[in-house]
Amino acid sequence: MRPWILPLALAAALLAAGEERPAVTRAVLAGFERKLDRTIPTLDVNDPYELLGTARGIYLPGYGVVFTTEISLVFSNYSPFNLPPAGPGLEKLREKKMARLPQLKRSMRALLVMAAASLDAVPPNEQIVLGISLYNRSFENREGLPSQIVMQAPRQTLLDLKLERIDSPKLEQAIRVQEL
Amino acid sequence: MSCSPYDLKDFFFGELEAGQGRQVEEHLEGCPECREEFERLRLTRVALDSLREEEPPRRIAFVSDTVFEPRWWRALWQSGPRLGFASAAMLAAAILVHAWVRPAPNVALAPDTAAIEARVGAEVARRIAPAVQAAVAESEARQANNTKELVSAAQRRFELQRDADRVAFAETLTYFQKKLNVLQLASADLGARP
Repeated sequence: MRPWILPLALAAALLAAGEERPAVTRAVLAGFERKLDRTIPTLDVNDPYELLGTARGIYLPGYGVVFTTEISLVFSNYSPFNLPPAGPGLEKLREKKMARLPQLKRSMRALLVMAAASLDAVPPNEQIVLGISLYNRSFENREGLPSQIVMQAPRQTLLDLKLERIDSPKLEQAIRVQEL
Repeated sequence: MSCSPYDLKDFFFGELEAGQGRQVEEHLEGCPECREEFERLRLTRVALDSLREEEPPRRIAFVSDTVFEPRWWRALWQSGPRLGFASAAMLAAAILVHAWVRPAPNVALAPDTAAIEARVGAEVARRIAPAVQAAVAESEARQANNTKELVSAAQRRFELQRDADRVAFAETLTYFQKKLNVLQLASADLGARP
């Protein structure tokens, strides 16, 4: 063993121990919650998603941060005095929602990258999780439509894409998508 | 025995002289027995006058005359072969007659249609009335059962629709609650900005 390696290792250990990482506080999470609430309705300015629940974030030490919200893929504008759609109207509504699913997933990936860049307090090896509940009425034809989409990836991987260290296909492999 | 001075038969046939006849008439007026006999004579004459006069036979008949020959049927009856031949001939004739003259068709008597119709009508009415009553009762029972089922089905549909409306209303309320929450938080966010 070379004689200079040990002192160098000790010095690195001391340096690492002395580095202070900002804490994941409630204020940090709330800031990103508001950011999500403002961003989600504007993901498609021509046909915006309908935000039905404000974003909620929670930090799980050692695991990462989890944000949840609820939207409707189609601006429904229901009223108790309007008859619900039936027959072809229901099928048209389902087709429209199905058509918007890929766009929503792309937007969720972008939001994950945005969260990784914004939440510096989250350790790079921990997860950034985004769960969106999709609002559907009981009379709708929900065949093929998920009621919840959950995406998660290590913060470091998301940062690597942000810094263009990896390409999108590699990110696709790193992101875990669950549809419930 | 007549007590008339003259024979009453002579007086009856007018064979007495006028004086004698007057004596007999006077006697008849006074003698009921002679008058009765005279009446019998007169009745006998009336009876004889009523008979048809027949002329006596003018010649003498002999046994050998054809008048006394037996009739043909008597000769036939007395001869066995002739009787047999005659019987066979009659039988053949009867067969021929029967063959030629067919018996009249057994035409059924024209039925009394009015009486039959009346009887059939009465019988039909007697049988149909209870059957109609039973059928009507059964139909009414079936109708009542159908009505009951329809009402029950309508109630079930109404209940289902009511439940669906209740669920839809609850969902709409939830939807508006969520929208309201978003708006309230957005409003609070705007109010918190400097």
